[in-house]
Parts: sequence; C-alpha cells; structure tokens
Amino acid sequence: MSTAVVVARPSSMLGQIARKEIARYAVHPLFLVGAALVALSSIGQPDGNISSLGSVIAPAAGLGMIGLLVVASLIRSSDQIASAGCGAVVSERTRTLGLVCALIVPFAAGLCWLGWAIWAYRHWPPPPNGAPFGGVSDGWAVANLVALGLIPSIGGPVLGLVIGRWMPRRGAAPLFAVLLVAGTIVMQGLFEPLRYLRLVAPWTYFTGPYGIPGDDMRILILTGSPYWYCVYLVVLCALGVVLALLHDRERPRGPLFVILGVTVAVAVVTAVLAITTGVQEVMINPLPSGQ
Amino acid sequence: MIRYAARAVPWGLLGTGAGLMIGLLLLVERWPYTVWPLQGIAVGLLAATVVWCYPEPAAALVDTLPRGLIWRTTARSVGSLAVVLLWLIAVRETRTGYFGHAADVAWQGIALVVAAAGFVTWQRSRGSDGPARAVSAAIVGIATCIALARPFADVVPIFPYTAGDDWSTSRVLWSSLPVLVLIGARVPARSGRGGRRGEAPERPSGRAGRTRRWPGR
Repeated sequence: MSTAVVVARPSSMLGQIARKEIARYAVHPLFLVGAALVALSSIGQPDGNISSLGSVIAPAAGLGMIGLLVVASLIRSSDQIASAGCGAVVSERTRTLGLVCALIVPFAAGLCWLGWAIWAYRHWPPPPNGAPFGGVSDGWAVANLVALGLIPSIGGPVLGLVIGRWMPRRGAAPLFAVLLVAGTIVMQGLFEPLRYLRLVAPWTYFTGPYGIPGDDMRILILTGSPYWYCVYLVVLCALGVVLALLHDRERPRGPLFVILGVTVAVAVVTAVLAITTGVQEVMINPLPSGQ
Repeated sequence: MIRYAARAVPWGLLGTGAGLMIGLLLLVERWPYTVWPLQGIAVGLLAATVVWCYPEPAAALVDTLPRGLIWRTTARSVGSLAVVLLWLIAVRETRTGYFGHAADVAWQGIALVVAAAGFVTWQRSRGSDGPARAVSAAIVGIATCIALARPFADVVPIFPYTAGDDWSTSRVLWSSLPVLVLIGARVPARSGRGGRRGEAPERPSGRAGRTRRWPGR
C-alpha cells in the first residue's frame, strides 16, 4: 500500500479539520453527559409558574458550562496531535476555526431544547400569577428562551475556546467554570443593587419568583430588553472567537485587532441598549403566587 | 515520603482550588437561600482539586522504579488530606449556612473525594498516567450541572436544599458512591499488579492496556 503526501488548500484543510472536530465533539463523553442531563431535565411539565422559562438553566449548564470544559479538553488534544506532527502541518488559526465549526454540535442540541421549550410553553402556558403578564408578549418569552437557553449552548464553548487558547494551564478550565457560575449567580438579579446593571453578565434571568414582602415567591419581571440581550450575547460570542484567533502569533493579526475593536464597540452599544430599552421598571405580578 | 509529596503534588493548584472552595462556602454561609447551588459546586470543586494529587505524567518511567504505586499514592495523598482537612474546617466554620445539615455537607465532600481518588488510582493501576485533567473537568461539570439544574431532585436528592428536603436519602446516595467505585474497581485491580513494590503494572493488550486519554481523544 503506497502513501502519498497531499498538499491541501487551506479551505479544504479547514473542512477536513472541521469534520473531525465535529465528530470529536459529538462523541465527547462530557458533552453526552451534559446532553443527557438536559434531556432528563426536560421530561414532563416544567415546575413553577413560568412554564419552560424556568428551565433555561438546564441547557445553560448542561450544554454551555459543560461545553466550556469540552472545548478546553478538545483544544488540548488537538494541540497534542498537532505538536506530535501527525499528518500535515496545520496552523493554530485553522485548528481554532475547526473547533469553531464544531460548535454546530452544541448549537444543534440547543436548538432541539429550544424546540421543546417553545412547545412546552404553548402546551403548559404559564398561569395568570406566573410570567409573562401585563403588557409583556409571548415574543418576549421566546426571546428569553433564545437568550438564556440557545445562545449559551455556544457561548459556553466559545469561552472554553478562549480559556483553552490563552490559559492552557492544568486545572484552568474547571476553576474558571466555577468562577463563572459563581459570578453568574451573583448577577442573576437576586441582589437588588445589581438588578439594573445585571445585563452586562453573560447569563441572567428576566423573570422569576423574586418575591415581595409578604409573598416570597411573587413573580417579578425585571428590567431590560431580552431582544437586545440576544444581540449582545451573539456579539460576545463573536468577540470570544476573535480573541481565540488572536492567540496565533504566526499569522498577521492586524485585521483581527481591527475586528476586535469593532466587536468591543458593538458589544458596549448592545449592552447599553439591552439595559436601557424594554421594561424599565420592575413589574410585580398583581396576583399572589399561591405558595 | 513527605519530601516526595512536597515535590510531586501541585501545591499551587491545590491552594487555588481550596481557596476558591472556601470562598464559595463563605458565600453560602452569608446567603444560603440565594446562592445555595454553590454548595454543590463546592463539593465538586473539592474532589476536582484533590484528583490533581494523583496524575503521574511519566507513568511509563516511574512504574519501573522501586517505589510501588501504593507507596507513591500514599505519599501523594498527603495533598488530598490537607485539602480535605481544609474542607472540614471550612464547613465547620460556615455551619450556620447549611440548614442544620453541616455534617451531611461535609460527608458529601468526603464521599466524592474518596470516589474520585479511588477512580484515578484505579486508572493508574491499569497503566494510565492518571487522567486528572479529564476527571476534574467531569466532576466540576457534572456537579455544577446537577447543583444548578437539579434534575429529578424530588426522587434523587443529590444536593438537598433547605431543612425540609430529603437529606436522609441524600446521605444514603452519597454513602453508596465510594462503595460503588470501589466495587467497580475491584475486578480490574486484581489483574493490575502495579501496587507492589518494585513491580510495574501489567499492560494488557488492547484498548484497556494503552495509556488512555479520556475524554477528548
């Protein structure tokens, strides 16, 4: 059997690497465990008064946070393969782009969850003492599901890309994941002084049983626009990809710095819009929670 | 043995993990109802930190040296014991934040540490170089996911919440975890003889015998 050296064009090289990374992501044990936990969390009627809006934590944790760890692991093994000199020489930027293509896997899983969540929202609509209420539309609810369920399924892995490229030290990804979750819990709107500015965080609730004096489980709708928050999160994902690509010093980085600057500016603008548009006063459901 | 442990254990990483773990417990003590998922995450972080005591990147070399796996593992466990001791002290000092179940919280951590350390050592006995990176990521990921999403918390109360939750069932679940890991490791451990002094572990042919990298490859 003879062997031949094939010089591939960068585009076809990227295609091959992307296919390989997609396969590696799809069979990664941690991804499968996370997807299984999301599926388990989606069995039956959602708890609480806000239908599937209360289930967004499942894909955020099972696909997003676990995705961060998966990608950090994939980067390490991808770099090991590259440094071992197995096969053709592939630049770090191409390998990073290959991993970006692999994010189609958690995104597809997130889409499946979104389909279930929209179906569940219609099948088990929130009661009058739940959310949304008042003048808030169902579109607002769907924007919530997209922002807090679908986009984190790629947002987490993108963060893993950044961590894996810039902090490849042992234990960095799990420690960062814990810090991220701790920070996110603080910025969920549970602490009143942080409620207005909480939308700068990469994950936060817009509604929930925050309670009022005399009714600890009363449903509130917090300030901000979930539509602009979706845009802000997508821009953050793009920012993460650019940051990960910037790690490769062997290729020209000038254009990437320009894109980075533009992306940061757009992120700031969209964050301000997410905070200053939409609901601007905390809305309290007039009906008691009944719990 | 102490000198070996001082050189072999990544004390910096252990200190960082333990510091973060103590920070999480202090947050739980301050706002138990609000940030309760951090309790489960701290349990996962404890075990994920401890597994870093056991990897031996030069497994193929050290397995041929006179010091056996049992000796090396015992020496490396000094790091684990230090972190577990910090865990027990931290839980004791923050005991007002656990709805009267500080002992259960402490036991969750110890049980997961025993299970994780047992699993990693079992992997070492089979010739692996100690998949600490993968195991620590898996522990943090799964513990965090369960602590946040709480799937089937009514039936399987892994991280119970408030005094009214089913802590007794949780205690049984956590107690069975290290037992299950040890039972699972028992059969392969018989064939792996790496624990005896001066004897390299057997490297059976096929998938189980090669240095495995899980997950990711």
